[in-house]
Amino acid sequence: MPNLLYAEFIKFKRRKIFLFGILAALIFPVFNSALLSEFNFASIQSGVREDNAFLLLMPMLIILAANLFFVEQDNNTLKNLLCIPIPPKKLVIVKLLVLLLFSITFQITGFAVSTVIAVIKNIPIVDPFFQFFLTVSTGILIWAAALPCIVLVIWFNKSYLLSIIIVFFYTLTNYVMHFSDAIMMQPIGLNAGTLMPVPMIFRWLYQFYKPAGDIQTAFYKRFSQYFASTPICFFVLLLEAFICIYIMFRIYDNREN
Amino acid sequence: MNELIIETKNLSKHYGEQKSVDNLNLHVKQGRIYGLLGRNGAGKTTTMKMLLNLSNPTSGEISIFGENIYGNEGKILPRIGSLIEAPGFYPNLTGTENLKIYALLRGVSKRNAIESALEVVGLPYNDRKLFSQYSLGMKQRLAIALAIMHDPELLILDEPINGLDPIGIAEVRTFIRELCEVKKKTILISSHILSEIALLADDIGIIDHGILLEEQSLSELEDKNSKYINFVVSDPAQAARILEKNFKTVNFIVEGNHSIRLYDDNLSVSLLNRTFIENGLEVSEAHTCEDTLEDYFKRVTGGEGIA
Amino acid sequence: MTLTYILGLLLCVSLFLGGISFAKLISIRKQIQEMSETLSDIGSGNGNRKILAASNELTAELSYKLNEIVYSYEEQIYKFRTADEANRQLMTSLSHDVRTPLTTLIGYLDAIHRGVASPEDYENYIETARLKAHDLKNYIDVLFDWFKLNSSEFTLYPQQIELAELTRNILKNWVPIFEEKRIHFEIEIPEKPFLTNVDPDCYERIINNLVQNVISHSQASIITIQMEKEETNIVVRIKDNGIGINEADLQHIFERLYKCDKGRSDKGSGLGLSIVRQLVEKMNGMIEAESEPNHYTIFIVRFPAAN
Repeated sequence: MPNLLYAEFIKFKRRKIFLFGILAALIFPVFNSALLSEFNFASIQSGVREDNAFLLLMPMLIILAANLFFVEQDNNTLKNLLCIPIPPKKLVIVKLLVLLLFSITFQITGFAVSTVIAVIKNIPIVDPFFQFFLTVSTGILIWAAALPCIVLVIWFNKSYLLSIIIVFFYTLTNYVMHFSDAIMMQPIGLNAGTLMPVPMIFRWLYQFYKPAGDIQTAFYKRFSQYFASTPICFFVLLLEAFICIYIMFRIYDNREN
Repeated sequence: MNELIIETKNLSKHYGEQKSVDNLNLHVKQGRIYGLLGRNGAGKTTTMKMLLNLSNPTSGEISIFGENIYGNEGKILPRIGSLIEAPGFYPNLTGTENLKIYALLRGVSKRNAIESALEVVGLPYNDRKLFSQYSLGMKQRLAIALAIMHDPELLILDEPINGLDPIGIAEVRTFIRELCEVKKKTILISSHILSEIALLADDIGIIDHGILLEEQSLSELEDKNSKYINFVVSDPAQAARILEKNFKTVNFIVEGNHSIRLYDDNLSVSLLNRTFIENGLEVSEAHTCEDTLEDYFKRVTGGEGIA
Repeated sequence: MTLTYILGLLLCVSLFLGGISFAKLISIRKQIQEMSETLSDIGSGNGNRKILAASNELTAELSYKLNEIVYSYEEQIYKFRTADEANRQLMTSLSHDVRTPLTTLIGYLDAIHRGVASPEDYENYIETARLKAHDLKNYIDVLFDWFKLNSSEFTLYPQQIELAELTRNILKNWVPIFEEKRIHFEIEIPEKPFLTNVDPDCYERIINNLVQNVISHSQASIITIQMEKEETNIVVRIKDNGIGINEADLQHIFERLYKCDKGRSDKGSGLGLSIVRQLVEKMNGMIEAESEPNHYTIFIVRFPAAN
């Protein structure tokens, strides 16, 4: 298994996709520090965390997934792997593991860069471990949130164009949903606010804000009853992840090589 | 030593109505080269894919190394080296890097396995050239290197000489023979070229429209198909003298105690017969075999022949 | 608060590491079990089986060492097998290449004995039988040589030697024969030393054999023997203007028991060139042949020059 993981990285040698992906994590921290004048370590981190994760990481994860999963079909190497034999299930797991590692690395990079910026700007660093924990957790949750879309990409097999359309659609709907009170303000249960990954992640993240000013405090109070606790949020998203992985297994099992 | 390495029982693969492989009973013996001969689309690749568990049979059984392949993939597949259809490698890596991936995943039998596999196929080790810059022949060589890198007991090679130049073909042929003769590997090889199979294989299976028409050893086939006249006579010594003195030919073999095999097909059988009898010999059989291998394949494949 | 998170983080990290070690333990157990299974298979006589391990695995060093032992035993078994193969070939040769001429020989003698031959044939038959007996003896000599060469008894004594002088001396003995057979000969050996490492007796046999071939088979009227230095090699070329060898046969002439005719009672054993090749190769040389039917045949022997 570790060798399988190592092999996945060797396959991307000379292709800068990982490097560019990680470099993209610098965009928002630098951008935000130039445009916004935050003087609070927590709000710097949360800004970076959300913008990076929901607008960049999510689509990048899916595009990366398309690359990871299609690399074998494009190069006709799947048969070589199956003859070793590498069970298709293992292959799926390893590729998802690569995505998870990428997701976490991406978030940690964002965190590190914003922390450096905070130090330069002389902003006091408060609760770094907690912020770090939130950032890494968001990485894991975003990975889980991207899985349903990855299932679709695999299902529509080999069509990059279609995949990209799906990516944009998925990213945008998810992101838009978290602005909608109708979706967000529902009790935990079988509803879009619980089952759609991005709204769920926001319901979990919001509770860690320290509201400043009246408007924010009012919102915080009104929303507080819909907060999702850490265990529930992780449970729902990881459960969804397991379902997605199961579907991927089925897709690979039924495919003739 | 005639242990069966591959045995299939009524192996079939249907795609809807089309029977790609139909009730195939294949017998590949230990330490021999088995040539699967058939035209393109006859079902060779499909059969090989099923043997490698890349494709699920509609019905039938496959046993390799005496064990059923299903449920034993993990045990059986590492002992096989294979080359199926076009070579598949990562274009952004060099040949050595490509092989390194598989060496990591499957394991190898010695430390310098990659280097020696590349040496066998005549590709440089640790070369900077990327796979995407390889010529067709080099790609095929790399695929062969991948198949032999872990020193497997059984090789399944689908049209291994595809894309190679004549020198490459001769090299590959020599080293496949060597693998079989020196290392006693079992090799299943497919081709649509009769002469290629005739040069390499010990046993031949002829497949057409998914059906195995014939399965025989090459020497049996050649015996059946070379042009010669077989005489069974009472005194082969006199027959030999007569052939040499009266017919001025030395192109014959004395086989066993009474039979003599004449490879000179310019001579008339009836004249020979008469001369033998005039010299007091009893001729109990005079049998002409005139098929060439090609004619034979044409016949078994129903007249269409094999290029 | 911070402390809780640090502790939580530490717990996560230690759980993670614990999980990894546990997985590692399980995978090593599995590897050892696989190794043990493979070793049982090897133990029961399947020397083709190898333990596979990726070079970065814990068990790699051990696996490779075990494989090395299997490889070295396999190599020894291969040597036994070649001796065995030589035996088998000898049997085939005896049955084919001795039986046919011997039967013909008997045919002539029987004819004389029974009085079938007319008085004018009588002398003729005795002479034919005598020549055949000689051929047969020569053949058996060659067969014996070939057999010795292929068994482990054969040893060479290479020494540094000057090849030009040696070659001239060998050819001196042939001059009367060339003249007797009315073959025009050209010997082009420069007056300078060609130093190389060969066994002089073997070298003599190689040259004699090649020249004898020209005399008995080529029907040539001119023979040319050239010697020169080509880069790091010393090259000897023996060319004749005889009947030549067609392309299909040319590929096989150095293979043992190969003869251009399918029938095997032709003069010459078919072993001669196989012996030549083996001798040349045992002295680190190379031999090749080129030919154009009805124009020429040329045999080229190369030995690495000393220093």
